[in-house]
Amino acid sequence: MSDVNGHVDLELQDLLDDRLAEPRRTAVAQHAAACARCRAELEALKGARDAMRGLPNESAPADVRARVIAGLDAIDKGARREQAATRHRPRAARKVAGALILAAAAVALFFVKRPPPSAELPLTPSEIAADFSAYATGGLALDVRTTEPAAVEAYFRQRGIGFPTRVFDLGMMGYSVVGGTVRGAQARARALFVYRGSDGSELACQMYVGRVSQLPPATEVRQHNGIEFHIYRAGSVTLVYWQEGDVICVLASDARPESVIDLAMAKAVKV
Amino acid sequence: MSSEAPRTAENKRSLFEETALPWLDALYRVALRLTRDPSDAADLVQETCLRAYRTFENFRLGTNSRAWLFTILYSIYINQQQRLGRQGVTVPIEAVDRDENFDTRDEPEASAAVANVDVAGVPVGPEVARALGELRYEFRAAVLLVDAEGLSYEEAAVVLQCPVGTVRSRLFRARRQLARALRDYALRSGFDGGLS
Repeated sequence: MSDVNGHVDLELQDLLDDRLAEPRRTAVAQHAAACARCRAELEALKGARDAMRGLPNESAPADVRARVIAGLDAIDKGARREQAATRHRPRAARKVAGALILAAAAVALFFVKRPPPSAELPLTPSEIAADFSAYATGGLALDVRTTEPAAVEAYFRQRGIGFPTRVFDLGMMGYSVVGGTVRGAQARARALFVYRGSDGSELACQMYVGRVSQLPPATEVRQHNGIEFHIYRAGSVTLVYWQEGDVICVLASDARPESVIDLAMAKAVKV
Repeated sequence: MSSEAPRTAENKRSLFEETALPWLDALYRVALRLTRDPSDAADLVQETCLRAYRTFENFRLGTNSRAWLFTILYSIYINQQQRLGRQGVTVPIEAVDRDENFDTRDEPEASAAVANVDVAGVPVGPEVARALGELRYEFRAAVLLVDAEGLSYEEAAVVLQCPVGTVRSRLFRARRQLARALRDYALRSGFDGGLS
């Protein structure tokens, strides 16, 4: 690769980094030896590379290591809480199985007969963002951990969530389900489920009865497939709200904002 | 504990520490030079390690843990940059070739001086760090990973999530800009490479 004057620019770097095969290597080296401009460029590139290699090898301050260890401890603590909850759940479930079924039926009936809760204000973006941050830092444990969307939906039904939660498989977009939990109580119960991306980024989706129209004005509103998406920012967290029937859906994540919006659009269902 | 040991819930923590913590200094160095702020760098390293721990089950033991950790770190960093509206720019190689601010054609002596600055004892360390800080982050990341941390082009491409050819062109651009900045510094410092 050379320009009209025969200069080989990028290949000088290839020569420097030993990434040229013969016979091109010899040809570029011979050109550099004969051409003042290319020789100077090669020296400049080498100078920059050597300067970078000469940067001091600083160590991480002790407090960084301590913070990492403390963070790992917090995650382990959250995991132990989840394990303990899982161990106790079957015994408790046996004791109250009948009552639970009746309770779930009652809650479901409550939701079915209940008019849209226009008097109840939906949770603000900062409250939803706080849930996401609590989860991301190990302060909010999931009741059920599974990569099976259907198992998470079943868990929500068991917990009396009276609307279809639609925990979709987002594998095509590089995200898999991690698990779910229920936040709030009774009429304000919220189904919270988490996805994790292949790059480690996480998204928390929440669904609960309410009206998006009662939220404060959004930073941005977008339309897609006849659905209105209300986009908010709370610190580093992007939140995307949309309405599915009587249910508010909100996706929260500190991933790249456009990714969060794309995922919300992929998940949304027109009801 | 060997990295070949089977992974269980019980040994996850020790395996993770064995896999990730040896790279803490390298993570911090890259984070510091990307963010240019010790506090932001510490936050970035912590977030990287915690995210890596939460997704540790996706990491295949015995593979390239350094590249895996750098990938997570850079992903978090780039998300932060994009949130701040600092969009990455892909510069076509034609633009690199047209870099009119760095034309060594007429001054080979000055460029040659860059290579000698360190040999001559000029304290280039802080100046290199400053020049590095002036690069756009996608160029800075390329030169940090390849030149400062010793990753191959292929490893850097995985971390930066771009083709190897893009790493090559970013590296070229970054080195050219660094060379120009260091040459200017050398000339400002009265160092003429022994050519005067």
